[in-house]
Amino acid sequence: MTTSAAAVVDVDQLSKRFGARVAVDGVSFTMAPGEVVALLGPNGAGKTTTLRLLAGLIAPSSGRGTVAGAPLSGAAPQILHARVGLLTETPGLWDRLTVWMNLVTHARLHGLPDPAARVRDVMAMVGLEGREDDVAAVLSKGFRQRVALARALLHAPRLLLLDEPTSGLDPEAAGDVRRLITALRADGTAVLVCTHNLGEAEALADRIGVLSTTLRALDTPDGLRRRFAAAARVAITVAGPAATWLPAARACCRDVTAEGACLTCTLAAPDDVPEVVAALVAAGARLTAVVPEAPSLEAAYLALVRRDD
Amino acid sequence: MTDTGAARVDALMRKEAAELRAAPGVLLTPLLMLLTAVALPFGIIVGVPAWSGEALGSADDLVDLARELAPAVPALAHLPADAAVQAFVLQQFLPLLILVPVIGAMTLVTTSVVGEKQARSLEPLLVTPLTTAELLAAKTGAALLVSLALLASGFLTLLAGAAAFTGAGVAGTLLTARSLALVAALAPATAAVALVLGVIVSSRAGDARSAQQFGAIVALPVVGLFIGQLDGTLLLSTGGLITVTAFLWLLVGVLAWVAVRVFDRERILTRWT
Repeated sequence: MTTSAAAVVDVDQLSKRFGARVAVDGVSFTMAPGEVVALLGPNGAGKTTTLRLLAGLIAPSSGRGTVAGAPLSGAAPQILHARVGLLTETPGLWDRLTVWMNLVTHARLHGLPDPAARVRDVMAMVGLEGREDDVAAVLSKGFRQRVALARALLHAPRLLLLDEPTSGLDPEAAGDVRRLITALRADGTAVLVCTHNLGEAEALADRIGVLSTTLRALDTPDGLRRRFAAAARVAITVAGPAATWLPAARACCRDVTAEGACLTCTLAAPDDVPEVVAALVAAGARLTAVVPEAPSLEAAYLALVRRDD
Repeated sequence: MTDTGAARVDALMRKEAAELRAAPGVLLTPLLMLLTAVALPFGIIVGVPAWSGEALGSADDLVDLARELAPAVPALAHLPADAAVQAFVLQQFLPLLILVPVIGAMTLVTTSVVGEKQARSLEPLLVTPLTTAELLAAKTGAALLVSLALLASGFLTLLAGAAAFTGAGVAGTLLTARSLALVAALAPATAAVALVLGVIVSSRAGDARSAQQFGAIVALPVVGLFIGQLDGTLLLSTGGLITVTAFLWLLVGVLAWVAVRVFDRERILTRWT
């Protein structure tokens, strides 16, 4: 866990209400420089609201926090905006303008000393070389996303907020975005990414948060699996009918089913596989295969979002 | 506004200009208005005599009506009958020219603000260090410049047309203090009121069209001024025009203050998702 002093994000009991509807409730977490955190959650869980709170676009109803040292509910959100980059869910480009005009306008709005040079650098970073004069409206979805990403990176933010960055992209374009996030992490940029893609979250993130109005959990992918996934299982194939060995298996498993030659055992802990194998062998079973099934992130995610539903 | 603030306003105004160059169709309505304001008086000055075969100055009641404008436009008293009626016609239609920047400003600013909301380009814009005042200054500034350019081109066309198609001394009546007060003072002030009202309305409106319909409210007093001129019931002197202009700029200040407060970033973002 990050200490508050070094944290890029440090929020405490952050809540946001829209009238009677509570969008985000009591969210607290920290993020270190160079850390990638993925935020998972069902539609309407408050992910985009959380990003907007951290970007200083909307004010928290209660709670407090700082992002890159700037207070979230301060009188001058401009300081916060200078330190945060936001990739919105839709690219939001000025469609009639060229890629260059889209980017150089934002570079000037950020008050960069040499807007043209920075735009060239960022275009190279996201693979947009040679597309300066393309009108935004004719770009493919992948290239539109690259322009939006370039726009979010222009002012070298300390925290990059990404809302569904690979949604609707082809695998190659999505891979490019992931590689860019990895490169940014190496440069010390903290990245908070909202996604529905569990595989992507697992591959990219140091920690994963599961949000459903409240932050249900925030842990490493392994930590989430260990803490919240349904118990690990092992599939054991035996010589002869599996039902014969049910009594022996039940002695050391939480649950056992038998089908043909296969016993499926639900374990009390992932480390219990050797004990089950030993018990069956001691009872006289001849084992032909033992296949442990690790608890999945999906199972952990579903367990968390269904809690208290 | 700080230097960096001014630079941000300049950056956004350049972007507005680039968007206008890329999609000039938004200027169609004010251009049609401009064409009407310029073509109508010359339709009367050139078309009526050609159609009836009689000079405008041959109608005594028209000449008398023209001479009644002399207190406001003294040069009229010294013009020959035909030229006096021509100058009278130009003066009567001059207020119509004010509608050009009003309609232009309203069209441009509502299209710009509502367009940002519809294109979802407002959220990335709001996450830059741009303040609300700077954002609105850039939006209104760009629209005001274009509207005033339209007004200037309309007035210059009117002047050139007067020099080409009317009698001696008529074009000069367009350069009197009253005419210049109307075009150079009252018209920009009215356009500025339309702009700020346009921002206020488009901050709340769902689409550009419904926001632009609100422009009719601003256009109504101008149309009233035009009708008042025609029937002689509202003949503002130069001093009167300057007074109205001063009041309008005061109104612009108050409305600008309201506009910044009405432009609720949070409400706009959360209602448009």
